[in-house]
Amino acid sequence: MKLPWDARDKRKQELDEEIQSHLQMSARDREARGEPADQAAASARRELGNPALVRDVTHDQWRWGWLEALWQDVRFAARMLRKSPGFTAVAVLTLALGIGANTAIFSAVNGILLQRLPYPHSEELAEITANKLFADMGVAISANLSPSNWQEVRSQAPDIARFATWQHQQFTLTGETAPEIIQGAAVSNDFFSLLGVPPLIGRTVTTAETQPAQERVVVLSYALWRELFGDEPNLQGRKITLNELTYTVIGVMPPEFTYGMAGQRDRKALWVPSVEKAKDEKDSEEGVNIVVRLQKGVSLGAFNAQLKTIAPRVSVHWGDFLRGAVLVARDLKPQFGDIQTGLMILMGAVTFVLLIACVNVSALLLGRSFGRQREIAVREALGAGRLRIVRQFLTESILLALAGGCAGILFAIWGISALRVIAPSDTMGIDRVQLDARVLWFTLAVSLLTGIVFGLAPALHASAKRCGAGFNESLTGSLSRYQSHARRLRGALVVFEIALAVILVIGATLVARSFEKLATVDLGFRTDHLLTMSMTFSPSVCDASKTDNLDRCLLAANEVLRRVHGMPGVETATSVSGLPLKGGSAALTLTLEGQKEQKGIEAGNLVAERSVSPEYFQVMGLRLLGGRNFNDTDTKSAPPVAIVNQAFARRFFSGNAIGRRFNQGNSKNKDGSPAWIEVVGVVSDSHDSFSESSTVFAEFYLAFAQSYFPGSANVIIRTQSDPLAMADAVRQQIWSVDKNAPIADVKTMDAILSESVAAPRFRTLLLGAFGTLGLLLAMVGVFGVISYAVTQRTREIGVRMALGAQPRDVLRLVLGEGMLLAAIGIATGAAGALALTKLLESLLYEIKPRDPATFIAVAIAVAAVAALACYIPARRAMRVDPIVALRYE
Amino acid sequence: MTKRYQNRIELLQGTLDLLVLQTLRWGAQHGYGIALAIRANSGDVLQVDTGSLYPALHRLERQKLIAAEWKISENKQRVRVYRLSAAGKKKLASERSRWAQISEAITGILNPAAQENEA
Repeated sequence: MKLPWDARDKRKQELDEEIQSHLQMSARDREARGEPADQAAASARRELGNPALVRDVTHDQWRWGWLEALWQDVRFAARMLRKSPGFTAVAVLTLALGIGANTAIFSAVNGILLQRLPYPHSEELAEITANKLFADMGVAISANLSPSNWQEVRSQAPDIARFATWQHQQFTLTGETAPEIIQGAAVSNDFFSLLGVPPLIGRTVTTAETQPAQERVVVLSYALWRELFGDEPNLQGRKITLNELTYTVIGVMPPEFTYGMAGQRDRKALWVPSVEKAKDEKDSEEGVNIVVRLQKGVSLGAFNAQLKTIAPRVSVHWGDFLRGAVLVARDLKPQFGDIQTGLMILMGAVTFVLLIACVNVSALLLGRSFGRQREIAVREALGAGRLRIVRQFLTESILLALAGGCAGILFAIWGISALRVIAPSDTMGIDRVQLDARVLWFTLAVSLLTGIVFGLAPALHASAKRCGAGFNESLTGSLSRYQSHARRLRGALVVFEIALAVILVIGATLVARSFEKLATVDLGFRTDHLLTMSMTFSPSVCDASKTDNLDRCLLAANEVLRRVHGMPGVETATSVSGLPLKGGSAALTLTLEGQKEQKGIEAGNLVAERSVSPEYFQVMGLRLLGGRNFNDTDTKSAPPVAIVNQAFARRFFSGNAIGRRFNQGNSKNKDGSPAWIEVVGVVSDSHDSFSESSTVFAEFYLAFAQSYFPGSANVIIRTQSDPLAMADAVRQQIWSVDKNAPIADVKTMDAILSESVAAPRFRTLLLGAFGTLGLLLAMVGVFGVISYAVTQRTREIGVRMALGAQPRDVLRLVLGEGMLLAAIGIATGAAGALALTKLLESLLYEIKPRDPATFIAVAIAVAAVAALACYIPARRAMRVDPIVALRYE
Repeated sequence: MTKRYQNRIELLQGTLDLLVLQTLRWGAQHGYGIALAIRANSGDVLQVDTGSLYPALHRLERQKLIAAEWKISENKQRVRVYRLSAAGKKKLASERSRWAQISEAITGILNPAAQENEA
């Protein structure tokens, strides 16, 4: 490889030779004319001059002019910055805060949102679901297609090159340590080859293995393999027990392969071949997840257009509930929802902080450029063009920004570790939040851009043609025009940064107030002294997949509750289908006796549904307001009964619910009559977590004894002392009933409550921090600008005082100027916030994005802080001694 | 020291370039030969400073107005020989007419009487 400096060295040697030959020719000529040999050589050299110098200057002709000039600029800029360490330190620190905050938040965006999919040609991959939007509730339901629906779609969609299907499946892993639930997927034989990811070790699923009656095989995720077998790459004869059956481990997927996992943070998952069902089992079709690889060159948009034309021609297997759903194909990127909105808002906030930092440094530079008028004038007189001077100034500001960027990385390292600690623990990808190459490139780009942004205005200003101002007069009168231009520019900067700070603080305040409301919401139940966990019975105790086993599940669950109840330190214990605040299920359709129209989700009502044991209301501290609780007579053979909450009673029965009947999903009894459920009791309202809205959902409770028990349930235990201290003893009780029952999510209800607000708390903390930082920086900026203005106007103030102005008048003068700028800034910022806070809407709870109280309070607060920032320099102005001021200059 | 040389190059720039290009019109020539030719053709008036000639040659080479190659001279010595390129020929033509204009203008300024007489 030929390097540029090789060429340079060669040229240097040639040049030496060229000069030598010149000397020799010259000497020979002289000898020919009769000079003695030794004298001829000497005079030839004398004529040439200094050979080294000739060589250097000649060589200079080949140099990269611009690069050399840049280097000169950089050296000069570094010298200038070294000469004023105070200014440099303040500017670098300010920029470091701004760039550091941006780097830290971008590292989160990069780690969480911007991860590349690990599949080759991932742009060709898509998942197909049937989606239906219930507009009046803003709830979108996404459902899987049935295999026969999928066959119809497949035959009509030529854009699909290949496809694979898979279904979520949960496994109980036993025989290792404690029984554990592992999320898995049953996949078709094409699954791995479609995604194009080879296994790390071993092999993946073969076509033969998807046929019935084959040996059971399993592919493990990297994390699960590591946990089970350490680093051992030899899979020969490895077997694990899943759902009490023995599976042979055939392969391990690489760590980045997460497809088909149910989003677990620990990335422990497994894949088994989806065994084709025998013909007679086909009647009960379950939805399957579908992943397709599109034909080369087909865009997702074009494919979606094709699906749109297919959807009406597909027969309805989805049931009435999804009638009118559309087929949607989307890429495989994970969906982030609120996390994405939150991170984007934070990214916006740190951008504002950085802009404020830029404005501050801009104002500082502007002040400096005044002191450098003479230097600029000299440079211009020596023939430097405007571009050259702008370049010189920009080099200086970019150098500053790069220094700020380097220091900012230190802030970012600290910020990222803080981020990882305070981020909600269930944030997917939080472990990937780090300073990687992409983040560092981002920092470099931001630093360069920052340097240009804050440097450009002062550079243009400093190099602006001063009408007729020669450098002789540059320190006297004719400069006032220039100065007034600078003053206007500084005024604009102050207005701009106050506006930014106002927007930032309004946003942070809205989020903080929203969080306050969220954290203090009355849940309607007691969260203290509650221990929760989920248990899943093993198939030998109760196989939930077989209908006749449900009673055995219930018996086992009741036995667990009975034993736990008998433990010392336990007040009561209950089982429930879905924990409060962790989401439960919603009734999709609901009809009331004597009324035609539906009341469920179809009609725009989310109605929560829970199956509970009779102790639930006592454990949770819900009050029975009328009627009776469930009791032992509510069995499968007795008429079905329900207990509803007040919201349910109010909404559907205008308060008088007891004795009324409703039907869930038009279900029928065996004799064909509607399966009515009678309301026997009303309990007080409690909050659930279907959305962060303030309304309490209508909710009904069914007795476990009369409803479906899916083989797993949550247990809630009210304890007398520290709930977590009881956890181990409770586990032993559950294992005494079913030694293979996996127990998961052992938590206190207080912890669940805290987790449910973890994301808003995280956003509040960060936005609060950035709001404070922004406001602080802005005020430092205002202080700096006003102080500088006072220094500039010392003579004017002196004259005014000499002419009889009182210190009070001076105070008013300075404060007035500052506060006028602050007022314009606050008004601009409030207007900007009006336009921007809409973006926060989805994150706000019980507070409008244009909440007037917040706007007014922030405006007053910012005005007060700005007044303080102006007051300190104004005080100094008051103390100006006219004599000293006039003697100055 | 460097500064002084550079300044002189700048002062001579254009003029020296023109002289070099003009000299090379009669054929390829090495640096020493160019210096001799300029001196001889100007009737020993213009002494070309070697410290300016070589930078000028290399500058012209970099601008691709002249091309250089190594040759063996009549004294069996390796010398770097410069030759006018096509671009250089064009440049020479335009520079010549520009020079003519400038010298006419300067003559006019130095000789106002002549102009007035003509008018």
